[in-house]
Amino acid sequence: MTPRLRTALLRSICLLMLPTLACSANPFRRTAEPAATTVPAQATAETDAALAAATAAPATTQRFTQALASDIVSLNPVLAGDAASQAVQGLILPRLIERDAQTGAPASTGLATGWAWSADGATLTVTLRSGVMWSDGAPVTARDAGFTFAALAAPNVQSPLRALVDNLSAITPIGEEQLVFTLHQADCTFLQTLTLPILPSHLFAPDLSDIATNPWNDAPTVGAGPFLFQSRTSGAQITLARNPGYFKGVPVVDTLTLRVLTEATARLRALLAGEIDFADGLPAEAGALSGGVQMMNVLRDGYSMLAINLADPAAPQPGRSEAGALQPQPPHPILGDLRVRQAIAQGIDVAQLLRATYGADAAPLTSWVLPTIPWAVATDLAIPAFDPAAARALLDAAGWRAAEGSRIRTRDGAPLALTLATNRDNPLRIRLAEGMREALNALGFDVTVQQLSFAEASAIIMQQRYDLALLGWEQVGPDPAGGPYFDSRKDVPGAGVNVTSYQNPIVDTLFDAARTAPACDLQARGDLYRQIQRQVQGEAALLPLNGIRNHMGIAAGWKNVAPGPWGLYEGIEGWSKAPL
Amino acid sequence: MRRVQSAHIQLGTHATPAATWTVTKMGRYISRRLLLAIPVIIGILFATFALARLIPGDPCRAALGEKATDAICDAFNERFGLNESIPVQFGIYMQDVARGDLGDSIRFGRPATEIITERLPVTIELALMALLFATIFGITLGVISAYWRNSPIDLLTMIGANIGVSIPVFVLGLLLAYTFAVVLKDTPFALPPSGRLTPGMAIPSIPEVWGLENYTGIGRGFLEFLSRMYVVCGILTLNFELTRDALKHLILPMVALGTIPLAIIARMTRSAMLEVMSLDYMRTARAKGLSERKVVFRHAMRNALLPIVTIIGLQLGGLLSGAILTETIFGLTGVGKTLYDAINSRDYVVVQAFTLVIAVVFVMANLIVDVSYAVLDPRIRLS
Repeated sequence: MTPRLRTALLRSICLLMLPTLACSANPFRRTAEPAATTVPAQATAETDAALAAATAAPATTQRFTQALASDIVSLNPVLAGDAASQAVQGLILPRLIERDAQTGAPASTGLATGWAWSADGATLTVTLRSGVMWSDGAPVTARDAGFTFAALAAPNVQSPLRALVDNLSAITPIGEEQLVFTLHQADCTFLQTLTLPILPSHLFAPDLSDIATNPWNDAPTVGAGPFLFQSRTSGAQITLARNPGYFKGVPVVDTLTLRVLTEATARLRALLAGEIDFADGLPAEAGALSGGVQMMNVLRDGYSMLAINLADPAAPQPGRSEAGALQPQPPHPILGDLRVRQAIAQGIDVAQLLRATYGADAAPLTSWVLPTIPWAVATDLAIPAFDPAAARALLDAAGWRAAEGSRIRTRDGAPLALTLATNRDNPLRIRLAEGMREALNALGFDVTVQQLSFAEASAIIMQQRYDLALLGWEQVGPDPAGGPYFDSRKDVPGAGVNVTSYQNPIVDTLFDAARTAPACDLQARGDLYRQIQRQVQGEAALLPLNGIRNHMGIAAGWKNVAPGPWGLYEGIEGWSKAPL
Repeated sequence: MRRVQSAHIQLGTHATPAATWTVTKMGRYISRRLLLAIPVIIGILFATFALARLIPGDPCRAALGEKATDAICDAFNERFGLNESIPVQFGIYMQDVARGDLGDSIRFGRPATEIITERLPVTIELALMALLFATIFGITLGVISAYWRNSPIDLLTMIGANIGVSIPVFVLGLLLAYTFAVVLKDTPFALPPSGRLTPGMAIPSIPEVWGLENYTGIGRGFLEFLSRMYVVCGILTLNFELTRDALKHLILPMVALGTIPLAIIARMTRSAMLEVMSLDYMRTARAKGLSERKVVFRHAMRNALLPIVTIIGLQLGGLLSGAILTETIFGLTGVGKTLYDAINSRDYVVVQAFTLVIAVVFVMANLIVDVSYAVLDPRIRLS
């Protein structure tokens, strides 16, 4: 090669490298390593100080960038019920009632200053705070709230959340600051429905004809939440600017950007690279990484359990007759016996099995009510003690005995054979199922693990054609009434969530009482739910297994960010970044 | 295309019989290829339509959540025509497609064409950048390798090319993202691992910057389309901060997506160059006293270009459609990522619409490659 050709080639390569160098960061500027900061779990005096400062006049320029795990469907709360949409809607719109981020209980920190139930529990009167304004200067009134819930219930509006207002009979505004909701029947859980963000009714046609087509849906420039809509790049990001008229105080953060990053590892990389300040739904392994990021986790709204079918899977029947009377069902030939169910509970070392399967991510549960609902969870319950000897004794007592030289127990010639169904697309669940199979077979059971597709597993579980099933519930809600898995009225093969065919009139009555408690007193309702949990646990109708951790990370230096299991943005107006 | 264009110009006043022959032959060839593409696309549409409906799961509950009641789902299915039998659904769909209506997204309730115009520029920009990267580096490395045949440079280049072909996109993408975004964080070599722009960066609209706010129609649509290609938008609006930021965000996905084509182009360039360089006319060129640069670039490379261009053209189709993994890893919401999300959420309409786009892109890319043969090599004639 001639020197001229060599020089030319070298020149070409250098030229090609130029954009890379030009696009990289300034080589002479190095960012100081941020100091690690512990994020407090609860708002503190520091929060109050930050809030006060924020309310006065934020002077600094602070930008907060957060990852969204999926793109939003719509910014109109009537038209979308997905988690991402609801999160963003809640940032630009006010809510009548807010949800305590730590307990999930209804809180009067939103538009409502308080509420009152009628004696029969079928009428709810909500009082709104005065002086709250939309960003265009119009007042936020009871009309806005009434309009939103009327839109949700309207037959001509295609709302995915219609089921939330099935029990709503009428909405009556009283003046500008009071709203009366009349229900078909008493239901304390209706308060949770009122956590839906409120629309600015003055921008929509009163007859709801433009609810799906109003330009506000694409560019909701009028809001009354902590932030106001600025721009959106579909599928990529949403930019919000702080609302100078926010009724709880002007947020310290000026610009909140929500970047759509659907892959957990992409969110983690962006966080570690300093591209974003906050991400949740991170991989469990993220806890081992630091890189100037504060990691934390809370329990998600969901859990896994071992469902035990109490009724004969060969002939599933509804728990109630058409007339509504309790309908006794043929029991499961093996699991219909309480002693066998208790043997299963005591024969599996649940805590050890969860540790072996999930490692540090294990979150063993003692009840089907999550510990993140502290007002309702029965804290006196425990994971059944692992006692194989007691389990064997129970099986012996139930008449299941192993013949000489045989591993499998029999009774009247029938083997103690069961199937354990689960979905094969979840390797951890398969591992858990295999662990249970080993434990139970060591007791003399003949358990076969059925690895099914999710659709097949769902189908046989919902149709109640299984013996044992490892399954998970998600989005059960912050009120135990949202998941009446042990209510005989929900024992409907193919459609009801009471997939274990649990029947107990006492529990049905307790569920009703908890749903209609006078004044919906949380303490009283919590006591009733605790009674249900003890009753169900005593009958060993299920084995609660694992909670699901939501791993989160926040860039160092941010203060007052205290995400809870039921909300991330509580006290968002006080979030601030300490100067580095 | 130079030959076709010049022939076309001549047709106006002094069309020669040869030029007329070229244009009519070429036009007929293109028309025939386009006509042949129609049954291919219909076949793809049918296959996609059928396969989309074989995905387990209920689109209503995927879109509205597990708590959607049967009544809500009935209304939902009626709205999207999902209550009809599959053959009827397909018939209706074909009628709509013939009218240019690709339907409304089941998940977002928006026209699929609107989503395509938002997402396609992302993929086009990424694919073109990856192709540019692959072509420049691939040809350069191929030429170097061929010129120094059997030298350590050749060995290294070909080992690199083999690794480039073998390494899966997701492995390379993750490695690049981790290395340049996390390991090299706060160094001059740090690069963003996701997104297209730094948060807060304003994106101007080309029609607005050019004072064409009142301009409407297809032209306006095209300019808006270009506005969504941020590098192009930055250049056209002289917003170099935007261009720089967009380029910075494109580097890692561009390298991840372009590495396999780069390796293929490098290997093809090497073998084509080696073949050409052993021919007699190369010795003649050197004997005439031409400089090495002229011998290599003017005589060898020009003649080796045909198979290279073919392979580059075929890569374009693959790059436009095969960016699913790259877009997912780097959080870019283009065609591939949207298709992936649509499959996960059983959004049949979007799956069908985007598959149609990909099919058309492939057909067009293949057609362009075939046509380019005649343009690049005058010896090749359509017969």
